Amino acid sequence: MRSTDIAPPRGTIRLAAALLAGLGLLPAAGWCAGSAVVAVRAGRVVPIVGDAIDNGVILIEAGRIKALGADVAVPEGAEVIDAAGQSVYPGLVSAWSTLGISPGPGGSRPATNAKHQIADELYPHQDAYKQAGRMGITTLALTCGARAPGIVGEGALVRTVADDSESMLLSDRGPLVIEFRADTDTLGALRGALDAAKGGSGDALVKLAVQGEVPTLISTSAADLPQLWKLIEPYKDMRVALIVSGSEFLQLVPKLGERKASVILTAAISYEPFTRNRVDLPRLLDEAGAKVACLPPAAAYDGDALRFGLAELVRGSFDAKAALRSVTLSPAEMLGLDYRLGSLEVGKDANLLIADGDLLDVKTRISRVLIEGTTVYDAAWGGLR
Amino acid sequence: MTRRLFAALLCALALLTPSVVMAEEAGAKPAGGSGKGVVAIQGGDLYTITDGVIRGGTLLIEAGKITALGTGLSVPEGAEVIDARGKVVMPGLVAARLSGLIRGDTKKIADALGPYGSTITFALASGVTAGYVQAGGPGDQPFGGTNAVVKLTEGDLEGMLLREPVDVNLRYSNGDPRSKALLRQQLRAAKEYLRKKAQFDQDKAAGKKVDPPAMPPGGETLTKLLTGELPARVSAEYSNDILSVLQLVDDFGIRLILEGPIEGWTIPEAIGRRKVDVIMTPRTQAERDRYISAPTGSSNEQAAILSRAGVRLAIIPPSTGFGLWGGFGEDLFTLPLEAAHAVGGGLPEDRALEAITINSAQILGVGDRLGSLQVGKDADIIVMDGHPLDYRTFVELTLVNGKVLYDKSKSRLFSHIRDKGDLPEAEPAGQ
Amino acid sequence: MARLAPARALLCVLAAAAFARTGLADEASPRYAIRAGKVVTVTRGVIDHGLLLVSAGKIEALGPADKVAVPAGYEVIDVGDRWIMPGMVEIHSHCGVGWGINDMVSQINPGMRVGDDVDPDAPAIPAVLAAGVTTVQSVPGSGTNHGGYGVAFKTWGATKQDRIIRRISIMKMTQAYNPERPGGDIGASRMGMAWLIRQYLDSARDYERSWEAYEQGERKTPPATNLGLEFSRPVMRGELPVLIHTYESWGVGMTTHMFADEYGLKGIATHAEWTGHNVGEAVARKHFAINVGPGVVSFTAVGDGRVHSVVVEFVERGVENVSVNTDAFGFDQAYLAGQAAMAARLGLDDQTALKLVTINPASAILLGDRLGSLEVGKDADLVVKKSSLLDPSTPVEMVFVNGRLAYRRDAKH
Repeated sequence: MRSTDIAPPRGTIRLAAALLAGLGLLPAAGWCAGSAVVAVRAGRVVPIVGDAIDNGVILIEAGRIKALGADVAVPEGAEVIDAAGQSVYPGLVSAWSTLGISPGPGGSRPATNAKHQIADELYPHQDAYKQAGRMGITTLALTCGARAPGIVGEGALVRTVADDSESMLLSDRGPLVIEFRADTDTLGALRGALDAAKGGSGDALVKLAVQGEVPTLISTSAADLPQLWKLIEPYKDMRVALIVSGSEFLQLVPKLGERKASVILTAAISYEPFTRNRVDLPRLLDEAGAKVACLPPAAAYDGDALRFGLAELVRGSFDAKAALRSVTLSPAEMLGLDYRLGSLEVGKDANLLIADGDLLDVKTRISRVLIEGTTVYDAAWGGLR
Repeated sequence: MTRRLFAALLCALALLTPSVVMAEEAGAKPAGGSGKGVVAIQGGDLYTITDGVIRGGTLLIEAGKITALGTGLSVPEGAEVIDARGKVVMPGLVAARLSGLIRGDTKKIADALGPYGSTITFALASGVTAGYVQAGGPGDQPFGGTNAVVKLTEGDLEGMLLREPVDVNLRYSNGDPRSKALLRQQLRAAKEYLRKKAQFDQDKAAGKKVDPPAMPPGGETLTKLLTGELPARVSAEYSNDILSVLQLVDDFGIRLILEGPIEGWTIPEAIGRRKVDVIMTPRTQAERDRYISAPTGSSNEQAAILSRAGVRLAIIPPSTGFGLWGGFGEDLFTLPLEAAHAVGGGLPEDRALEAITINSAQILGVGDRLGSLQVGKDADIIVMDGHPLDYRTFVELTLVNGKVLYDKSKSRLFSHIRDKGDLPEAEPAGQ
Repeated sequence: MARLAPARALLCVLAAAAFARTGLADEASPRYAIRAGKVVTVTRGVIDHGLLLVSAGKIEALGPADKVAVPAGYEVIDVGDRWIMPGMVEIHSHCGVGWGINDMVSQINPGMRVGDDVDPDAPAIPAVLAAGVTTVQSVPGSGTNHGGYGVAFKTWGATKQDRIIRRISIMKMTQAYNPERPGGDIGASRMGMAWLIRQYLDSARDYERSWEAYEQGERKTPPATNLGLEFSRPVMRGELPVLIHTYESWGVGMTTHMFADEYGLKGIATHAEWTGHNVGEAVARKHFAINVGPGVVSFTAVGDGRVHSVVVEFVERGVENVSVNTDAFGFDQAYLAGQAAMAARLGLDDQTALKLVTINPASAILLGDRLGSLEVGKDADLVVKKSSLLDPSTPVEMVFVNGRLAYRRDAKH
């Protein structure tokens, strides 16, 4: 039985969150985690961190994992979810999505829209979120599509299923979202904003980003990466995750690996430029030493696209453990949420994905999804709820 | 004929692909001192450009620079040896204009450079190791945009930018009298500013209390033209436009780079006398004016004629990018072929090679670093499998700063292409 | 590559001596004995130190200089170590067309002859000649499914009339892209265009059959003359070919199927670029000709990251008659040799590359018995140059058309 609490968060975000919560500012109160004790009896627990546990029990209290292991006793009166013969995984985390969000503000080039907050747009009662929940995704980093390079705005870290906008939010501040382009105006605008933040003035969000309190999600063409690295070089504390595109991606893999960069990309086969030769970028990045977070192919937050995409990569010799990590703990780390998400550990949110087999087996079906101990999808319901 | 010469050479030496081996394996005599970090290109015909051809010579590279070249050089122990026997070794080609390197618009090229991408890959495979990049441009204005000379140091952003800006792109054409007049006004104002500034400096030095003169519109750039700090680059095709542009030299004493002349061959003295540099495309064809008896239109002898008039020439192909949807043979994939066209029009071969190496480097203001095989220059070097101006010659190796960045045998682009040989002898029955 | 200067000076002397006595157009059928370092026949290899006899505008004899006797009365022209090669043939050009190449109202324009549009004084024509191109086929454009008929002419002649080889030399059809009418007119779909083309070919075939029936006495009254279909008759009899503008494997495949299989016509699929070579084997089986250009490279279309020449791909798939074009209005015609040179650069042997601009295009337009190689009895259309036609680093020094000196580099300016 594992009873030790999880390690304290590495980042300071949790500290900040605790402080904010103390001040009553944290909207986490919006989510009503069930107070009853829930016990999941699982044929197999895949915790991502550590080995799989056969015939394990996960005890949930107040939305958190209270205990898990093969020899955990189920307390009297606990609600029991019988997942015998089934496998339990942590809920999946998507590190970059525009699901249910309008296209970003257009206008000035370059953009300097740090005040543009995705949180203002949230509306949970969209089928898209329920479909994402049904495919096992419990956490999304939401942003808007950029229509001009520069600072796009403040993303939102959300639960996929919630009753109201407030209870969707996982944290008070979202990630800083940047659309990078290597040109004088964009570089000037970004450098100006980052320098101001570093100097203590400037936008509050950019300040948090420069201090590493919130993650920074940067979308860029691979060709522009060297200029981006040059730009952010002085801001050592920034926690950057990259969304990379363009035909030069493959050429940049060794550099991304060398830098142990965090890279967010779709779980799909791509092609070597100018050829029909298949390339497994997630595998290559993983092998080169980069941290990889996978997104559903073609932004399909529905059905089994994500799992099947991963399965195809695994068939192409992407390590299965790395594949699972790329949709759980790695994106959680990139978003600064690994202290509560991304793995099954005592003290972490009870976001569970219960499936009737190996998640990477195409025949496997997802039978139940829990967010913080509350079932948000149950195959038995026969549809979305 | 060139091919046969090379075929004979190759037969004699057995067909060797350049390969990189350690000096000891190659059996080179170790010289004093460690050769660690030294690259030796051995046994090739060194087309130095500035100092003739060294047959069967050796070239040494250290720390990205050419440290020695000649015959009978000993290769230090531990040096990386490139066997270039039967090959041509020459400086990397310098494109006096290179398109497609930066995407979009930028105020400074330094901010938009990236050391990866197909343009760089294709350029290195074509022997082009540096080029002139322009962003923005005069548009409807008399001048504008920026430009730079960029080294194609694939994978290394820091080594890319050599100079920015290189020149001032002017719009000056008889077809646009408004911007022509505006430019002249602005140049006069800038000239006046310089006069006042000199007076001001003098007065100030003399202890007088005076106000500095106000900078006129565009003055920051135009004064650089007037002081000769930067040359102007102007496109002009036909003789009347070229003559108008030459007027700028006479009236304002600016240094001029004339790009894309077609009828320059009709007024070679006017161009040569003013020490104007010319960037041109020898194969350009344009109709003669059938209603004018004086020479008009294009001549494939333009390069030869201008060169004879003392003009420093750089040659660029009709298209200055790398196109793969047609136009092969008309763009930078085959820059030497454009120089061959000039030779076809009577330009001596060595002049033609200068026009794609040292001349373009000098016109771009980087002649001290690029464009020839000389001790102290950047080790931007290409190894070719035949005469540089032959239509069947390929680049086999491209080095930038002494590093092999392209190897034909390892790249997919052209490694499948084999020389199929010369024309067959006659069939006896065919007589 | 030797220096030009001394050798060229020598040629000046020789050529000047030759022409001072010969004169140009005004002397009827000059007779020449031309000695050259190489005689490149294209079809029968290369004769080193060869001699070529020209009379009555034709090649009378050729062979090693020590085996061919120079008859009395023949002017000897010694071009030293230079090569003598056949004049080049371009079969997809718009050379000399002064006004327009398409009437765009109807998709099918059978009564049109682009020869009516060619300006014999077009300044481009001397430039084309100077580039060593001695025969040009100018064709209507591809803005409609049937633009009309092309004209084949020499780029020089003692008189302008002399230049014409065939006033109507080819039927020009267009199968893809350019005639498409996205606005919704006919041509909005490829099936619509195919229907129009078949309708036209059917009526042309019926017209020819009814005339044949009349001429063979199978019917008593002559069919009603249809001016719009008159020009199509030699095409339907297989005496003239069809040039079909098409692209990609889809277009090339459909074109060869329609024109070769359905109508049994002799033809050339022109452009044929991008993925056209994917149906190369089928084209080879149907003995259709391919005329590639103005681009000769296929890169991403092959998908292996290598630079391929479409020309090489067709040759390797067994297409017997591959040629190249410049699709030019005139001046760019001078790059014809360059197209072939690039095919050689990307993998053809030099002889096959030379055929792309000589015997192959000549044969494709059914003039292979007169043009495109150095053989006894053929038109004496000759190019003198220091090296191969494919080499841009040596200039064309002399061009003969129909046995007369038409261009001499040193006579310029």
